[in-house]
Amino acid sequence: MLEKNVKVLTIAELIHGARPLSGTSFLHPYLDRPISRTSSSNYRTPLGPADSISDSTNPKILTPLNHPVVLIGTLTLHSSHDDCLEFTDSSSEICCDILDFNVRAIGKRIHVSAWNFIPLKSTNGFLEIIKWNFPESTSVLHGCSSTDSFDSFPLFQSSVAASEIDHSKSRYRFHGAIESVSPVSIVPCSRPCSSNDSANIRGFLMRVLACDCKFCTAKECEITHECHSFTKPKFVYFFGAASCWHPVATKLVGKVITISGLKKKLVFIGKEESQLMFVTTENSVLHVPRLLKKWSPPSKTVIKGKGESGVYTGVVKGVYMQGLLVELDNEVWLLLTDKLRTVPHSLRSGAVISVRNVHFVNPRFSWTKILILGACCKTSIIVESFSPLESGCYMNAGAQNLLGKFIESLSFSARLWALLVVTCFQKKFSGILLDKEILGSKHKKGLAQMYCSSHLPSSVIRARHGMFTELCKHESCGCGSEPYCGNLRLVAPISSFIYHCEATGIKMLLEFDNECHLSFKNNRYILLSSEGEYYGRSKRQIVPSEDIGIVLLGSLKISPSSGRLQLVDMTGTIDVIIPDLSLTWENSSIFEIIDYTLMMEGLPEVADRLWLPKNVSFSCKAIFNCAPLSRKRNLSTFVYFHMCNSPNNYLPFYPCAGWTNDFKELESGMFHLIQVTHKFPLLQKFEGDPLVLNRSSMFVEAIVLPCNLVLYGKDGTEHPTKVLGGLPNELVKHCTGENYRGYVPEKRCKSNYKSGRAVSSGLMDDLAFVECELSTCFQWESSKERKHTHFEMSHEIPCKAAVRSANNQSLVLPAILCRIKANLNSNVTFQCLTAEKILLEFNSESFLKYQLLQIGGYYIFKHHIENCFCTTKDSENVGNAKIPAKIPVSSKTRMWSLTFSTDEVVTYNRSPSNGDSSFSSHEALAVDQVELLLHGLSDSYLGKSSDVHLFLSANAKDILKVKLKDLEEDFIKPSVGPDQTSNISSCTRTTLNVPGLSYGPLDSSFLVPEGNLISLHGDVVAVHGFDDSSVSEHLSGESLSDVLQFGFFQELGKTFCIHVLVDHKPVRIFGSLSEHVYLIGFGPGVNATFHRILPARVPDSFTLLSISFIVVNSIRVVNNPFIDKISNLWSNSDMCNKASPDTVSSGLISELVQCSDCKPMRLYCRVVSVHVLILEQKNRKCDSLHSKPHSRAHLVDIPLACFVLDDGSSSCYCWANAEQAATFLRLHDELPQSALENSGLTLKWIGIDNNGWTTTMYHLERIVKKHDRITVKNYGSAADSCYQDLTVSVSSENVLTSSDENLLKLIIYNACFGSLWTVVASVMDLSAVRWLEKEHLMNTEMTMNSMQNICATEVYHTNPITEARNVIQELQDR
Amino acid sequence: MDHTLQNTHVKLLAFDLLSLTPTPDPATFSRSGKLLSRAEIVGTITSRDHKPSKFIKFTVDDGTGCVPCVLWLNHLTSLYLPRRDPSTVRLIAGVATDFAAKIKIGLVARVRGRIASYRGDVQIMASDVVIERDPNMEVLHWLDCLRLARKRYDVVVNKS
Repeated sequence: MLEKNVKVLTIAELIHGARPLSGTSFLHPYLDRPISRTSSSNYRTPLGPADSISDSTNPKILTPLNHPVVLIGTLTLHSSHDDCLEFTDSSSEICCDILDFNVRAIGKRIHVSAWNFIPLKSTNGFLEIIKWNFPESTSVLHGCSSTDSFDSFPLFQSSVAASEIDHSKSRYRFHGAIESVSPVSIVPCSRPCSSNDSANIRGFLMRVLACDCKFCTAKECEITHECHSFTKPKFVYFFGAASCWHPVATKLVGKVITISGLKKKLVFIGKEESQLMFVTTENSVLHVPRLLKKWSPPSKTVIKGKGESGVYTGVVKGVYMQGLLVELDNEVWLLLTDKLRTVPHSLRSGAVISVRNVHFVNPRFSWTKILILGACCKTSIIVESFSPLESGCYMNAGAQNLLGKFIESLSFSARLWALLVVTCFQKKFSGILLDKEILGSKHKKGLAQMYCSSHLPSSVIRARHGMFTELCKHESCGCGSEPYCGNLRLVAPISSFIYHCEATGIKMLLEFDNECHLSFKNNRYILLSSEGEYYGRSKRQIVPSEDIGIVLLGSLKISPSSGRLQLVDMTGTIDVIIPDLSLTWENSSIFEIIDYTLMMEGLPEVADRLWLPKNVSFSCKAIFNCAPLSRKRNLSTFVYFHMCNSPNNYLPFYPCAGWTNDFKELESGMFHLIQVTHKFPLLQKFEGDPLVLNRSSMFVEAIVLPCNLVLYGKDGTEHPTKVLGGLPNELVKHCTGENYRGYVPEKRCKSNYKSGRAVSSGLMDDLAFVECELSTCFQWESSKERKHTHFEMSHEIPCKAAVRSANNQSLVLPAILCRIKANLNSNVTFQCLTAEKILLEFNSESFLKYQLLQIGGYYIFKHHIENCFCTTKDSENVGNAKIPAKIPVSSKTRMWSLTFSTDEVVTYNRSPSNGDSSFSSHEALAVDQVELLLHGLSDSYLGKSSDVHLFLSANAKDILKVKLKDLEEDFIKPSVGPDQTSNISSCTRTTLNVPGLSYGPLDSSFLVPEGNLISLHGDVVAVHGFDDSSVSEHLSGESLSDVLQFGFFQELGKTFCIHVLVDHKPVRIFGSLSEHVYLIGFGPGVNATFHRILPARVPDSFTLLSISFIVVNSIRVVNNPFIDKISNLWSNSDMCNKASPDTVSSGLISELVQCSDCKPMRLYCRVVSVHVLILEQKNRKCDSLHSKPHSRAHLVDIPLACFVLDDGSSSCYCWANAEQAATFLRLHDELPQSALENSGLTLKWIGIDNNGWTTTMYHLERIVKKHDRITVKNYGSAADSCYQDLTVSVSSENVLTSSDENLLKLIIYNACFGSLWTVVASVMDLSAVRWLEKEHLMNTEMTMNSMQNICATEVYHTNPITEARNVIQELQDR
Repeated sequence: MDHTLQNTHVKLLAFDLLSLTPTPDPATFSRSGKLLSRAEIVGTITSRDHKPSKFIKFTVDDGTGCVPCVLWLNHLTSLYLPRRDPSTVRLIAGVATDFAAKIKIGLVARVRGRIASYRGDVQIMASDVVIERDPNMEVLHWLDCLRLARKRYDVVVNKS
């Protein structure tokens, strides 16, 4: 009965309205609120970051009708291809889905009182029936408890006349539980009996676990509710008209049914296997009990995520990739197969669905934690609750292209990965490439597919079969066993990548912040003793790509605003550092960067914490919803990688248009050699103003080496005569120009050709191979040389050039280095070379080239008659000053980097130790530090990264080297370094007279202080800004005016003081950093070279000029300056002890309190007590890094030790490193035998005749070995050795035996009851102490007296005579 | 009064030590306005009176005077010792017994301990005794005492 005021709506009216509606007023009779039943409370979980992104496309809630509306119609089975039920009334029909489904409703008239309507473009729309009832009476639904309560439904609704049916064959029936239902498929079929009646059979398979008991197998007997055991698997094929029962069958999965009137058939699957099946006939009947019995499989397998099948119920969060990918809950991804065409329309985002017989796969990707639900042909999806949202319906995709087929053939994890790759490719290149290029077509593979197939192992590709095979032989199809795909790396859009990295980075930095909560403001460096606020508070994190698991794809470009090199895709950009990027790189190329290092630095604020997602693992959803970053975080992110590290940086299948041309140009001809001597930074007038770059030019100072390189074309085995016969003469004539026509003898050309053929037999893959080839070549070459006795007098040097092209292929060409200036008769040889200084002018287009040039690097230019480079006259003389010639470098100017090497063994050793001694003092820190080497790599390494690698014979190279060096020195005039830098050994003395700086961006109106510009190379320890007041503290009188005279200091606002350790000596460099805008990653922890800085009048101080150039050589993580400080102190003391141990003045502990200069002091004192002590088993990995001979020999490491020392004047806390702590503890001394006895140690230890066992160390090693880490703390008296209250804790689970504990205590007592020590130490500030304690003693707050803290740098037994003499001297001096 | 030296083992020559002024606190003595309670001396052992499991009394002569010292050996029976972990007390007792065994007339010893008063005379209640093998240690100690006295103990801190 319909209630009053209830409006009846026809389907036609609904369709006509064509807007999403929800008629759910019946569900909320008392509430006038637009919420449907389906908005279950668990729908909206707290929004994560990914959600907030998707909120931009926030789906609305379905518009509810504010009055009760009922639809009256009949539920029918659909005969069309859409796998839906149908709801019809007199006006129209509509696809529908229904909750609380009852088979009896089929074909009946029902009242639908709560529903959702979703309009669809292709069909009438879609109706979701939430609540319905039979109009006749409600009692039908109830009161069906009688035993014969079975409803029977003939599968063929248009019942055929009974007489035509052959009952004899269709006599089979069974009773069982539906285990799975396959999708509807079409079997091409031609009936042999009637050839003209060929048709495709539509049908689906049902796997039923039937009961084998006598009642069930009896032909006629009614099924009674006896106990059944559903064990026997049976297949039923519903075909033809019966196939329209598919939606019903899907809903009945897991229910017990009976089917009668079936035929038995033997179905051949493939060619050899056959399967007995039941086939529906015209008189097949489905019997469904009125009280549906649920059945679940008897044995539940444990879900491990390796492909086990099971049931999952969850909320749909999104449907992606045309329905192939459904996100459930949070990061549970349902992968639907193409064959599963039966996805209900009601699978909309917001719906609660239940997926049965789905495979659970944990892909174990390194970049994210997700669960994959892999659907196969057994999977069925039932919507448990409709979505209240206005989200659209999924429509089956159209025809399958090659990509689709490819994706179908993959295992679940690989398939998800491939789908993500496809999406990423679409997002990344949507504007650059056509959709067709990315996705491919029916006949042509797209970029995405090519990428996927080149990265996937063959094990993930599964052979696909027909539906029959897959269902019947399901176990052998491989759905249940998932191959490992954890090493597949994600190709992420750059915006998602940055989002992810920032989240990770902020989390890491904040976590670090928590661990090390320091008041940096009060912090002062001991070594540097500088005033002013720290600028270096920002922290740095370096993450290797293996930990991220994401591959970067994109093209390179220069940012117009910052001038930095960036990796770009359509979604975003990220700064990159590529030390070995070829000058010949192509704009259009797409790079694939697998092996990289991510660096993040910045100062995360508390506000960033709010933004932080709970889970920092990569969200796949972020890829689908990737949106530009909304706000800037306090974090700068950049990526560092080497081009040569991955063999295929260029996408192998993506055409790189340019490099072949470039390569051709390099193949032959003459080239000018230059060496870059300096790069002038760009004057950044307005920061961030993109116009600046367009207006200004950048200058690079270089010297033109007085020799040219002549390359003799690539030898092709096909055209040997062409190269030889035609080219050399012309080539030589052309190349050498007028000046040296005739100096290259033809014979040489020929011989070079011969060697060329011997070597360059084709493209070589790597330099190593080239080298191998070269060795044979040089044998020839050297024999040639021997004949050429007066080689040094020659004006040409024969050599080999290994030419690298953009795709890292190498080619070896014969070449000659020949002298240019032959105008002074013909006697000029390499012995008397001269060089020209030039200025290369880079415009904004060629800005990248400017960036890629390295100071000190050699480069070659192709010689062209029309090239301005070659026609430019010599430098002009203006007055007395020589103005170097200006040479414009456009983006079209080809330049290549050049390196020299000999035929001797070239090792590609990337170890920084060769050229970088400055890090040697941090050996002990190597575990904590991650380091990036940016520039300044060893020669051999440069060789690999340079475009042209010139192999000279050792002899020739030596000559050239000497000459080039002479030249350099000749050219860049040497000058006497200022006194204060004379002891800085690593200071590169590239000195230059300042008055010569009449060019460049420095305004000549400034009063330039006189002095010599020098280059410094060192480790940046701290950078801090200071205001005017603190400037005066730093620099008094004249020197202050020195600094302030530079206008740019005031102009650019904040000035910085950079503390640099140059060869262990602290040096300060003042200047403005903001103008050096291209310095990525500059800050504490970098190793940098400061080119052309001016010594200030204050000792060890320098000034950055506007022409100064900073090169960041390497970057490492310094999370806490104190680590450095301590290690520096130690290493410093080691150094000075070896030199002169007496240079440290003796003093008293009481004097340390007043000590402000922080110089180390020598003390004579005793150990009174131990404050804290950590003993560890030495990590073997660390072992090799330790340089201390003592600690290496033993297995005990003492990461933290603090003793209370007393010298009669006062006491203090003394912090010691492992070696000194071992000395303090007298670990290398003999342990008194009485101590062993006192400890209660069994006597078996005594009497072993071994020298080693008697030492304290021996016993300690034994204990530490058992317990890994032992912490001893003194909670008792610090002043009385006997009243120490020592507590010993161990990290292992082994119980510390009382004898061991006693022995440990005795070791400590023994340390306290010793004689005098001479200790060299300096004051340590409190924050460093706190940090040390926090670092090692996580939780405990040990009370510390207000004693001074010192850091021991050396401890040894007091030599009474020496020390007594010192004291006498001291007493006399007074 | 200056308390800064109270937790320090002052290095005083015998004559200096023996002339310390007692204060109302029996554990504290004063010297030029500085309160002292611990001391370290180095000298030759000139007498020895050992009462096993009770104490050992000995004198240390540093050339400027003889300092009477006592090392208690009654840790396991004494009621005076503060309540401590018995195993630690046993360890300390064992260590003290070792010290006692080392104390022999004629050896140069470094004695640290609390300054105490026994029948009106200053004595050292030794906490540890280190036998110095190198006679030069005594010389260094003399010089150290001079240096400390000059630079530390005799320095009058002007509070203004």
